[in-house]
Amino acid sequence: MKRHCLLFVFTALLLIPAVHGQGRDDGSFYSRYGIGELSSFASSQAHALGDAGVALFSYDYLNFSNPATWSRQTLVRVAVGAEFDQLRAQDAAGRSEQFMRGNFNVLQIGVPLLNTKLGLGLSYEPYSRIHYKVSSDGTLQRPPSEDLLYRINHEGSGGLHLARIGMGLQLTSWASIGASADFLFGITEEVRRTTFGDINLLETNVASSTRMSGITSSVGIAVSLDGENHEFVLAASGRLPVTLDGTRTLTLGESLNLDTLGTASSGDIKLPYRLSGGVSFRYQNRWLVSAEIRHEPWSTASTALPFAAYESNHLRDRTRYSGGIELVPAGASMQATYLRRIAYRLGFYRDNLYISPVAGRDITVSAITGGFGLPTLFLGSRLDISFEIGTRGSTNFNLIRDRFIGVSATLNIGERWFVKRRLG
Amino acid sequence: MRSILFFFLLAAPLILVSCSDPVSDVGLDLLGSEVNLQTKTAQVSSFSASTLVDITGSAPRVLVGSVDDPLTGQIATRGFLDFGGDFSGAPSDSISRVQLKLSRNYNFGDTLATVQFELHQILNEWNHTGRRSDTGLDVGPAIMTVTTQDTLTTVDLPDSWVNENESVLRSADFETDFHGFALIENGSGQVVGFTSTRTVLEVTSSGGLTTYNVSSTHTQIERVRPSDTPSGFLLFQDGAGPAIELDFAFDEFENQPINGVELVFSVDTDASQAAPENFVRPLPQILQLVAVPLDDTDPAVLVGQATINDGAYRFSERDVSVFFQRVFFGSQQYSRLELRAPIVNHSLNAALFYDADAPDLSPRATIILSP
Repeated sequence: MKRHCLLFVFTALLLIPAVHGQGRDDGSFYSRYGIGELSSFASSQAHALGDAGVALFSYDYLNFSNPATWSRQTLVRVAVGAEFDQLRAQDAAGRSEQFMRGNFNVLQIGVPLLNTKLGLGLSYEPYSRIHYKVSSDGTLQRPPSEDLLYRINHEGSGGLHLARIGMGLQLTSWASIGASADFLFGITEEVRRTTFGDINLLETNVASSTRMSGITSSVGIAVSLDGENHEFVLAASGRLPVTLDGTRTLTLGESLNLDTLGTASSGDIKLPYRLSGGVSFRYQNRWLVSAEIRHEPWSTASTALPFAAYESNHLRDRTRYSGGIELVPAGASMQATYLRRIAYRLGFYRDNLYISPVAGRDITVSAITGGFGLPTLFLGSRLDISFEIGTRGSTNFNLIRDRFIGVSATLNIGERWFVKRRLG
Repeated sequence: MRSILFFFLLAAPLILVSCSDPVSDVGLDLLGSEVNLQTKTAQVSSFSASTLVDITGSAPRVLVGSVDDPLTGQIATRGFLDFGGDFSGAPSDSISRVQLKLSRNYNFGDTLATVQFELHQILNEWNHTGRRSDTGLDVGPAIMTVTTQDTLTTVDLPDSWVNENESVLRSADFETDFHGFALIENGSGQVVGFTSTRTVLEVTSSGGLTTYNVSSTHTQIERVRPSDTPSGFLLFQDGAGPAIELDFAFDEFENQPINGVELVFSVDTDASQAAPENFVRPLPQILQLVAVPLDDTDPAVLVGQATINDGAYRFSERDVSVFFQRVFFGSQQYSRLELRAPIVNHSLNAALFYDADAPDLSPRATIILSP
């Protein structure tokens, strides 16, 4: 089994670049703004509960909302996921378009250092994504020559990734704390490609590529009050503000033999802190209810490198409300039928984008989430299928309304490692 | 292994999804002016007569004659031709006749005026490559005087010259021993041009006809009286000069990606060609825009060329845009731009350009900017 698990991690790592290479797929036009569309993935369980994971303890899942929850680990655990999104965007002019994209979702590894007392967590996941492509056709009048037809493609791709390593420690029977070092890094690229019917004109492909990196840290605390058939958890976690070092190069390609244009520009990009608080209540290992509030004061963010709308009157403080409920009809019973051992989940979240194309206007995101946690033949391993259906924004003020459906699949494998064989 | 297989099955649809590549116009309204190309006009920052002395060596045409033009002034020209080839007869064959056949393909000035020139022999070996129009060559005494009005002029070299040069004409080293003829104007009322491609030196011997083709050309041009250019214009004249040097105020385009550049130089075609009856003063059909490097000793860079159309030379080829894109990004530098006539169309053609103060027709550059 250990060999299987190692092979699995190796395969997953091989697949990450392949799947992540789909970053040029199209998505929400809102991803054009700032550092892109933010994403987070605490765990496949929390994902189906609206990402309300800050107070979720689990033996079956690693929960990256709160490092304090990493203390409660009994198995070495690896989770790898991917997601598929379908998006229908409509703008104020009535134009609509449908997009599809697939993305690597997350790679998480958890190692119990002291059984249920001290746990190590590592993860690698997207933090933000830029993925849009818009084209416009135009005519340029050039008397006495004929009018000039042209097309400009605006494309964006790339994003930031988040790599974390940290530990969770059970201080007492009712309190756990945790901390992690969080490394943010990535490259965003915006391209404007202009094409013509006239061969005498240069079909420029101007690309602005920004490389960013920075280190921050997260801390968390969870207080667990349990009884014979229930557990109530009150938890909070936070991530410190981070300043990313950014370097931007402008390049011009394809029709000219020119490469980098001018000198690279550098500057800091400041991201705000994140603060989350939440509760969860588990009853008889059958029912689980979780809720979370997350706050990020993006109005304090700033950048020395220009990003679209990354300025004070467009940056919006972000407050996210989420909650969900899970039912496992069989509870902890291993003898029940397969359908009764499945975890059925339903949740919701309401969020607003940290950045808006129109100054002073919030872009609201609302979604219903859900999913199933499917037991596998391997004890401690589950396949989780999650979905979310929601809307983002509206068509007021020339904005765009996105209607999206997302499906993600995450394979959680848990195995017992480092067990000393006992004689007799 | 089942878990690995399972993950592969999970990832496969995602990889397939990456094949889609649609293009959308949703969100255009949020892009604002970024969806439109912009055009900006740069005004000429300098536009004046150049001190450039034209290269006339190796041109496919030599000019000879003199013209007194009310617009461009008085100009005198001398043509120099050298020949090459091998004598086709036996070394012992005697030469009975030598003819210089000149094929005319250009006129400038009074077309009814006679063209008269003296034929001289060039004394020393000379190199035509890069030879400029203000240089002459050492010549011997006049062999004969030639008057011509036809397209094809056949000059029978006198027997005395043939006898004197028979051994050279039959020599295997003809190319190095014979240095060619000079056509020195002598009382012409127009300038004519002889094409080198159809001008030959024919030697008739007892062994048959030997044809020597033109191997080198050069025209010496002297402006005897300066031009009388009307105010508001700048004269450009091929060969005799002046060419034009210029530059534009391009500072604001530094580091700007562009999609195109068009440089327009307008000409008053009526004033350029206004002349007495039977007087021909052609317009340059093609002009070249060249960039003179910071180090004047380096060869100039050909930026582009334009044909006159609708009263203007418009430089808008792709190469022009590429050149200026490089200039804007600092990977190409130059000290000045120049308008020149291509050497292959060597002539005295002239044009009156509207100068930098002309309200609507001054030289201008239109730049199409990427948003």
